[in-house]
Amino acid sequence: MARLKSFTMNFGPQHPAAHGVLRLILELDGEIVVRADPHIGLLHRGTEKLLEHKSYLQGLPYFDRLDYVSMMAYEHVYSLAVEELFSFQITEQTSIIRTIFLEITRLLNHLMAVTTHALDVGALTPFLWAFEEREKMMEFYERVSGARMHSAYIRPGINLQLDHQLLVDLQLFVEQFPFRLQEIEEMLTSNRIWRQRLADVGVVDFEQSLELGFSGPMLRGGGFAWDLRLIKNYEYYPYVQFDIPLGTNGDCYDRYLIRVEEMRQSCFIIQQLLEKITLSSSVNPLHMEELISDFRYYSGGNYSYPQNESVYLSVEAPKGELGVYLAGLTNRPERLHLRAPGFVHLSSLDQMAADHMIADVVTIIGTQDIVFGEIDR
Amino acid sequence: MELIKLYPRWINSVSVDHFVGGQFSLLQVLKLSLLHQSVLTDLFGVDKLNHGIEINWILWSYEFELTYKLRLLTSYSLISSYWLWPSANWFEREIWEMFGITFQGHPDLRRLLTDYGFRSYPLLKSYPLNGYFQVSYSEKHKRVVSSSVFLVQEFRRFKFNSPWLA
Repeated sequence: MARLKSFTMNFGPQHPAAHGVLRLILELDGEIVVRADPHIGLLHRGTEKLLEHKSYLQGLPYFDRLDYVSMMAYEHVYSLAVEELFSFQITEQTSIIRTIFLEITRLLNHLMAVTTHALDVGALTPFLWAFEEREKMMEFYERVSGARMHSAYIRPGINLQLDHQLLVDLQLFVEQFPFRLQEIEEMLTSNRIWRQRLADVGVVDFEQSLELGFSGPMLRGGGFAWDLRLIKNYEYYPYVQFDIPLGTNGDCYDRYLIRVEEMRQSCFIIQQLLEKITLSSSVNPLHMEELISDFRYYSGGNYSYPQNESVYLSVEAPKGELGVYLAGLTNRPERLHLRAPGFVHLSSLDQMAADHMIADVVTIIGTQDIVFGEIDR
Repeated sequence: MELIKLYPRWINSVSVDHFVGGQFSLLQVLKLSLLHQSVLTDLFGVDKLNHGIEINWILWSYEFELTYKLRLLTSYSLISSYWLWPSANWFEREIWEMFGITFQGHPDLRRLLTDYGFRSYPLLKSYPLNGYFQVSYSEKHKRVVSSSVFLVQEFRRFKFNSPWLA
């Protein structure tokens, strides 16, 4: 009897379900995946190298372009690192505004993650609804920074201002958003096809997720309560209340439910922050002399020099633990390293996809919520 | 380690700097002492010029909610920590590709982010920002060809710390 040999298939780099430019070499036995070998780097721009040649403020806009669905999360972690390096202080108002926009960013990211996942699996409609909501949130981005996506809004050591009308509109948005979320859930949560495609697919238990270095919703899917927003106590998170949704089975369906519930919690956080914020008067310079010194300060690549030699810190980005290492004693970083959550998650694709059908690979890529801007850097 | 068990709330990060020899055994001891709830979250290199490459391990202990930061200067080769924490897999591939540090016992040390056939170690300080080669599609050969890099304007490198002080 002839022995069947496994055959190799190329998935991507232009496959729409590959979420960007992922070249995946699949070794198949019939329709069962034996081995999955992701080839990444098709979007590698050498951001870490480039930043060694920019001043701290010049480097900031690169961070929007890393994870281009959760832009401010990246700006924020870089700003935090620079602030720690220089021992900068920010005001409480800035901290609240940052936290509001971090949660808006989480909504942006999870909407994209859940609905493109649904799109890959075959449900188009939630995707269209989510993009309407995303557009509203990008409008908030635009109103504070002038740019819809690559906002460069959260900057190291710079205090933020908002106008009152924006807070009113944010309140309106947060009130209506859970209903939109419910509409999306009605389409998916109890949908028979959606459940059949997701339940018991890509199961990663707690032990395994530790070995693979998971973080964020991927780790919480296995039922482990680990959220850096609670552990690290950065920004305004210690002063707001929120729940951390946990999974029980560690499959794709659990992770979908976690992301949806996290969106609800984000709305809840924003609502609490809107109650806490008190807008102070403008801190922008009013006199010509102040304006000149202000301009010189920011355009001159920072007058003060770093207080610490290097910092490493991590925050809870929407996708998972986002770490940044920043070293330097001059006006530009000596070395910057990013720990992208998607990088670690994608490296586990081989373990996650093994023994699954080829159609499940699409589901697993979707549930990992990968974006190639951050993975390839 | 005893101290951490006594005061888990008061210590949130432990760093070990420039330890000599026995890199793998130290990691092994850490892995065992952190029991089962430890994870390697990050592993990266920093080019320290004459001193060699500084390799940083960032470990989370979920049990004690603290991070371990280990750093080590090396210039040649290390023992892979893949067998202790499988998440080291791609991190080590990246370090090998970017700095040329090999990891003994790594199951699959291939290039990760750079192009197929790329040869240099781009994150070394000695590697120029512009690189050495550029690729373009050649209509004549009907394929992508590489040539040495040509830029109309040089990258502007401001040597002074501030344009106002210069």
